[in-house]
Amino acid sequence: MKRNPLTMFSFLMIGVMLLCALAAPLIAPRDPFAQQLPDRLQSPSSGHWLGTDELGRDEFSRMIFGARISIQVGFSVVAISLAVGLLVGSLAGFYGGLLDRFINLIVINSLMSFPGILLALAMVAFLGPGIGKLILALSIGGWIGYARLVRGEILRARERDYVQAARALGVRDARLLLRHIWPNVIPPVIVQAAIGLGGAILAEATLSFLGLGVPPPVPTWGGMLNDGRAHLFDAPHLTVFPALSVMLAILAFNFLGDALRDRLDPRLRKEFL
Amino acid sequence: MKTFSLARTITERILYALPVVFVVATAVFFLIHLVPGDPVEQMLGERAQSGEVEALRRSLGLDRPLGEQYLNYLKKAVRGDLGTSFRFNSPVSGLILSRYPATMQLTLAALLIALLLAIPAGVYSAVHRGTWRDRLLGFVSLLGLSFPNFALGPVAILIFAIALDWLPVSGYGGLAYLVLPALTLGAALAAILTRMVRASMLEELGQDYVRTARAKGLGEASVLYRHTLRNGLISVVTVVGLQFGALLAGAMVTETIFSWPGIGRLTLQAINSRDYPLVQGCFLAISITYIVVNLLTDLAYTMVDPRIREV
Repeated sequence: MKRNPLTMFSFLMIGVMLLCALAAPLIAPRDPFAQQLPDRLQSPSSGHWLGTDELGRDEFSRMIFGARISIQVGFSVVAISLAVGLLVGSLAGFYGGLLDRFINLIVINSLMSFPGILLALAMVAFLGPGIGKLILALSIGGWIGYARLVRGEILRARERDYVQAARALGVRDARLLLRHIWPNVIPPVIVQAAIGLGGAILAEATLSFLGLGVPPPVPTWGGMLNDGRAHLFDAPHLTVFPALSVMLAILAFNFLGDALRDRLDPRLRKEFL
Repeated sequence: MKTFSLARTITERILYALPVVFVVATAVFFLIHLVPGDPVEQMLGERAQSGEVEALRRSLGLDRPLGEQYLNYLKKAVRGDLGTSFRFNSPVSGLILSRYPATMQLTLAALLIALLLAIPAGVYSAVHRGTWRDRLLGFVSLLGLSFPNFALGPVAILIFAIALDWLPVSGYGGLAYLVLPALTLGAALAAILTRMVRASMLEELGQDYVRTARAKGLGEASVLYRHTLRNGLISVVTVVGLQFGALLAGAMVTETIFSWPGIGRLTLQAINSRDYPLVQGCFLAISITYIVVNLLTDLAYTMVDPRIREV
């Protein structure tokens, strides 16, 4: 895993993003909110490494602070979705019966009849902008994938000999689930979480691009791309740099997911996503 | 007998889709109640007079009890009446119908581009499995998957419309206007489908019937395209259906970037002007489209693959 250059690249990219997110005020050369109207729409230079935007704000500093929102939203959405999905999927898979039917047939199927990003868009359209609402909107559709995965894995594990043996020994439900079944369910869930991080970052950037994410003046990569659109002719750097950073971030999490899959879950070593 | 079972399957599938439409319609109805505070005040803004607020509330039916609102909404929706747009001052269903063709044109063009790119690329990759050409295509498709449409669109405009001056920047008109938006929208799907086609081709190429076809002395092209691809495409059809939702969501971004007069851009305009009846109508139309497309792919699947029909 360590020798693969793509994996190394993904570690490097994710490391840089995390560093930017955690230490943005220390790394950013300038205040990302400070407007310098006389210096607006400058090309990259030694003073402003990635140029300035239409209000004369330093694009490089805004990119660094933008990583903050991406990481914050990405990790929160995945953490919430994972927790809910693990709980609901475990209950449905472990106990089966009516509970499973209700969760699987009614709740999951109705939520899936609305594609994930559209569900989030519809929620945000009515809830209004804000980082908390954004995280909520993305998590409402986000947990379904984990729940389905966990349910399937648990259904499979339930029939295994080691589970039957533990049951025969009189192990209680909670202990059986936590100590015996979960360790086998967790690896594929981690793989999905890595890919899900890329997905959540993409979704956040999409909503911010549409003006439905975190409201300005907070810098977000999607919002910066949207601002850049008005200046495609006179300041193309405002489009190119945020576009590249979103792409590299998502690419990095996809590589990470692939690498983790090879490492953790040889059964899934199929050659598509 | 055969036609009878096919007709029954089709009827069954349609009957399965109806409750889903009902659930979606219900969800869309309740969306307006997610608005923090008073939706009517939100729509009119701070300067509204209280008389105006009450008048709009009455005309939207929001002064009635919730149960009555819901029943009225369902009754009207069944007749195709989705209320009146507050900004455009015209019926929501008319607005949606007038923008619908542009979105269909865009999404179908994107789908066509994705298939035209993905099928040859996936087959090529599978045939040359493990070579540098396979790895290169794999890398390109991963890039395509990671380059979001809202980043790809502006970059495509920069390259093809501004630097090279081959295509128009944005707008709606002839075929030239369709190229960049359709490419932008279809790129991610092309990447996903390339991986799918490759994987299912690899699976099919290991099957006995392929060995039989080769043993009969059929040419490689005939083995690949007449025998293997046909079976390989079955699983691809399902993915196309599921991914159509992503295309419809992507249309919102793409139409905004390229000023394409479709339902996605209409939705965004409606959201920005807090025209809630129009937003509800747009989301309803988009989700019903998604459900119908999935129903159609399901049916296509049934007709292509006789094994499913029997079950």
